Amino acid sequence: MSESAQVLDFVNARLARNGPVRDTSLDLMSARIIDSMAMLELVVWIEQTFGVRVQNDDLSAANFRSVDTMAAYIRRSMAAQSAR
Amino acid sequence: MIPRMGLRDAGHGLANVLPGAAAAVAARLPLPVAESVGSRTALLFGMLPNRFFRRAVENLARAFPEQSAASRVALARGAAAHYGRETAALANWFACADPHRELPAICVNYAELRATIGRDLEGGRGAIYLGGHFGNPQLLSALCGTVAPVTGVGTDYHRRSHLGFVTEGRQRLGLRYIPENSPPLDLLRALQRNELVTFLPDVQPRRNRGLWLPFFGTPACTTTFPAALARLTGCVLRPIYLAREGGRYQAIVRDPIAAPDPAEGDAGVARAMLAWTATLEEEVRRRPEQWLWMARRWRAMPEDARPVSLPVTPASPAG
Repeated sequence: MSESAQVLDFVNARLARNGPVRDTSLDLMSARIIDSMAMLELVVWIEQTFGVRVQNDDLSAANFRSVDTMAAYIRRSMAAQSAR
Repeated sequence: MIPRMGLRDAGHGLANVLPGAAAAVAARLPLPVAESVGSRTALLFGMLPNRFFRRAVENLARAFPEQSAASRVALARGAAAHYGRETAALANWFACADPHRELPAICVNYAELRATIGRDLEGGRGAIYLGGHFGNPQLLSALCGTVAPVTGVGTDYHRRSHLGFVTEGRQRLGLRYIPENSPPLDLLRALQRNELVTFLPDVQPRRNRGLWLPFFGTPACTTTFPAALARLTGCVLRPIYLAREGGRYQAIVRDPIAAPDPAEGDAGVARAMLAWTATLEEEVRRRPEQWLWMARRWRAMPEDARPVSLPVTPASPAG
């Protein structure tokens, strides 16, 4: 299962309250699906699922705006971690 | 056009300057003298027309409608004196030579506070302490900080130089504070390190992002963040306050609130925050002169919002 599919599953299971998200490029912040608490839930889940450490500076709209940006962030973090 | 400055503006301007000036003086005086200067300065502030004092009287009218207007003004003056005394005491403690050694003596039940923190951290998941603008919440954080590392959420007073002493004092005592509305990852990390996180949830959340919980019978928008964080981490969630008792303080250690179970959904978060707001109301009723609230606690509820009605029943036991 791709990172994108896993993120989409998590968002739909835990965060999306008004129906499932289908568009992986949807701005989840503008859609009020991700707030500061949801971001922490994502951090805990990402760290447990993918074994990466999320840093304070990573908590940006650029990384957490949509399923696509989160999946890209996870891939980058995993690659950086394995390169260390 | 030159703006006209009325007496109201002058009072408000003075109200902005007085705390910092009083704190600077209080830090250099013996504690009893500092407290006396602080309370008298604040009483003067209470006699000047300013929006903070006006709001305090308005809040007291909402909380204690059965009282006469005269007694509410007297109560507000008492609260102003308390605010001044506590600000001076705080400035004094922030400036003392060895606060970690000297602070425990000011708390009549420090041993109980220390034991409570020890128990709350036994689970290894940290603890969230929920306070309020009541008694002396800053000094409570400082006292807790003598037992375990504390991370709180607070106003960044660097931009408000007259209260800059608060930020400096926090740093001096080793208290970590993250500015309001900043990414809350530090709070999660503090809990993961099995430390204390302190919140004062009796502030208006931005854009009404909270639940409208009854406070003195009137819905007040209240953040759900602490309860949601407890649900996420499984940490202890406990209401706790520090009240002035004569020349010393008493830590009011309330029973922990059952952390919301993920299976409860949003009802669990509402139940937990309702339990906290009920404890704050009880403590304010016991010591109304120590209620420091000078902002608009009760704002107009948007038409599409719904107040949380009592009671929110806890989740049924599993099995």
